[in-house]
Amino acid sequence: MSASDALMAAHPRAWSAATTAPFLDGARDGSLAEEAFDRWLEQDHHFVDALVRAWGLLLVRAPREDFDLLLGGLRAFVDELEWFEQIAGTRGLDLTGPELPAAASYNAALLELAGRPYPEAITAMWAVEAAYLASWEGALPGAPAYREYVTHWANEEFAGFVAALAGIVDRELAHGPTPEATEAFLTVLDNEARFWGMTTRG
Amino acid sequence: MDSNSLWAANLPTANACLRHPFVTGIADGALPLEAFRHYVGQDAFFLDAFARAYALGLAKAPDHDTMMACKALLDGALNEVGLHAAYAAKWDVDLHPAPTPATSAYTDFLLRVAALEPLPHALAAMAPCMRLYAWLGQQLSADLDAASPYAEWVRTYGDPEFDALAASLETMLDQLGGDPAAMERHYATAMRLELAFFASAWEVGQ
Repeated sequence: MSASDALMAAHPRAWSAATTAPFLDGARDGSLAEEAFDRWLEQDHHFVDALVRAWGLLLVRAPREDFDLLLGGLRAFVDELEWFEQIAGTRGLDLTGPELPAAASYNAALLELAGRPYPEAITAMWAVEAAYLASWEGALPGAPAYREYVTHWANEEFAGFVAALAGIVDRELAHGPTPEATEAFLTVLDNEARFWGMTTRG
Repeated sequence: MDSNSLWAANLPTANACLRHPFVTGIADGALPLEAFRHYVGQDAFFLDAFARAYALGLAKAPDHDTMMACKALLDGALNEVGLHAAYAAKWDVDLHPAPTPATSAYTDFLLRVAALEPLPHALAAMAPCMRLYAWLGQQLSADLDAASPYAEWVRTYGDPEFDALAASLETMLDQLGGDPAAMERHYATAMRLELAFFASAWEVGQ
């Protein structure tokens, strides 16, 4: 089994907590309050800002063969920030407000993880994207009010990117997950779980 | 202290680059192919480090506009990488060579400043490469021998689009400020390393 598969298989409860939430159920069945979604979007914008910075740090130490893929990811995240600017206008979001505690803690962890040795850092960055993809895939096809958002994040192009990242993790952890990589993986999942519950109850 | 005065203070080094036989040889086609191939390979190594320095710029960007500017510059660096790939295909260049001492000196310097110092200091270290190449491209365009096998190099850097990239880096540098003494030192160091980079490639063809 590849290291990325082994990490997910060895921690089913943490994976499930990171990728399922009332928030996501609500986006699928339409029960999610728009107010809760808008507040979450504002926090996700802060998160993507931190993600761009984290990937900047990741790139500094990445082997050259990973450059195209990582730069492609970095550019996609920067495009995502511009997308937030667009929807902020139509949805009346405030992108300049403070970070909620769960977002602040995740964003700080992200920068710290990105600065670790490359095998751990890439494991963490893959875990972020893999959990995000699985989460939104679980919300497919999405209630009418949220469909465009659900498919913005759950699509084949993004899935291909996540699979390519898993390929790097598997190469870096050729002998299976190290304790350090496992700890990085679980840190991400723990933060993901708290991120989904940030603006909803239960 | 701004990007204009930094450039003006280093014009003698820029002129030394313009008069260097490696550079004149690009314009008139007299440069031995072996030297150009060596240069393209080393420049690919350099651009790799340059892109990483922009990535650090993204990580450190103090605001949204700076982040977007760093991304545009990173894209520009990747376009150059694409150009090198085209050269590599045409002239059988090894794009993954071991760096020579001249190349290592430059990339180590850039990455050290980009990693350890504030963003404006990193931009002062990076600006010479952009401004010098734009300036050389423009200077050489005037009496470019269109038959030179390296004419495309001159056209690429003489293009207004490349000038605009250099200008966007300089705008960031001017807006962000920083310690003038450190920025002057980094700018001058990078200019000196540019000249050494050309000289090192020139020796290969002799």
